[in-house]
Amino acid sequence: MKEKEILRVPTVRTGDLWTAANQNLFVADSLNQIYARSKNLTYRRLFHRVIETPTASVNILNVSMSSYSFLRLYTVGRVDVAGGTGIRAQLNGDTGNNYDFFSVSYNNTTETLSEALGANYLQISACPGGDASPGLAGFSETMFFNVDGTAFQKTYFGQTTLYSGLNLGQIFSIMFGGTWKNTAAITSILLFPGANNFMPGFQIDLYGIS
Amino acid sequence: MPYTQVPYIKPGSVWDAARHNSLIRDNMEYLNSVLGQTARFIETRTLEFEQSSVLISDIPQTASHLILDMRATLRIPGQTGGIPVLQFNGDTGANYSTQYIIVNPSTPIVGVESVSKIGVYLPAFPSIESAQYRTGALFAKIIGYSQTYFFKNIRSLIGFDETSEVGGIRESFGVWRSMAPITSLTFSIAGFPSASFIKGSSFTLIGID
Repeated sequence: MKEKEILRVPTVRTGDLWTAANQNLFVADSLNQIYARSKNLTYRRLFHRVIETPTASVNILNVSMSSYSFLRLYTVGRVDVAGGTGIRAQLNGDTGNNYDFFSVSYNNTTETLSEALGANYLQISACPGGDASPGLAGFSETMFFNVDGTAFQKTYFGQTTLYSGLNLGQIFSIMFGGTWKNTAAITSILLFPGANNFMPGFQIDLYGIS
Repeated sequence: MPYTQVPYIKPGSVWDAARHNSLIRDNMEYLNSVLGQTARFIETRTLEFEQSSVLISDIPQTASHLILDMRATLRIPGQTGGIPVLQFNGDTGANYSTQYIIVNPSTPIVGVESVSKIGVYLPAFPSIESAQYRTGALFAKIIGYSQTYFFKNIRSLIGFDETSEVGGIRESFGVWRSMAPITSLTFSIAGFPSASFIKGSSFTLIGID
């Protein structure tokens, strides 16, 4: 169906006649058309939360994520465990050993590679702990691919910048990648730290990309 | 509350307050919430003449994250390339740290780090002094630029051809040790006060709600 033009709604004064034709043209047609276009947004925020009290996990569901081809997830924050920890994800409520992931981390001197096969979560980020200097945080961006497809297992790739301190050697860049060994469309993402809780201010944003 | 299709009405029919509330008010609230959550253009600055520094100010605080698309060539006498420096909110103090990596076919370097500097060091850009006219294209993300709980982070990636012999990929990630929301960006060039961004260099900022 051809898109109708979205008309600017005229200003009416008290006593003016607002006809059924006006109602149909300016309100019904325009609102319905805006709604139709909103469903075709190519980049849309599906979830936003800033943690206000220590929280053990955040489950993102019922946000129509399975209607998008890609998901982009941003996190910023820290965890209330000494020394910090990783941020983990489980998809569609799957708590089984159905996840593989790898990572490469480096600071100014050292490169560290790691791999986990048959894990019960995906590692997507890392954060400093509550004992770190105020303001320090982990910043991550994670892409989930083939979200709406059902032909292939699900893959992801992410990058994290981790500041564990203010001195040389305490800035880390970490790249993550891996697979959830399931071909189902992704409908939910459970996020949780490797230990303890997300601290207040921890921010989570999820975007769908068509 | 999900969207409800608004029906046509017939001439002479009554449009009562209850229908107005459910069909117009609720739908408008739904559309406002949906349409307000996307990526939006903030500003493009394309230089009309050479400038030693570039300021983008009055960055709105309505988004959560920023994307920076920077395409530039530097003019640094006697140099084939140089390092742009980025300062936030006009802070010229030694409140920034940067780590970056360089990958090219001959000399991959991992983990060059600097702390307590006067700006975040972005990956190097080519100078017009190189053998041919070349441009660097940088793509950067500032995750959580408007939050006030943590320091600010920028992660950037560039690929460029510095000379006929040297090209590569460079990535940097820097921190500004401030919890203030970012309201402005100032670009200059490290170590060369007389250096400049040449005409045509462009800086585009996009907000991610």
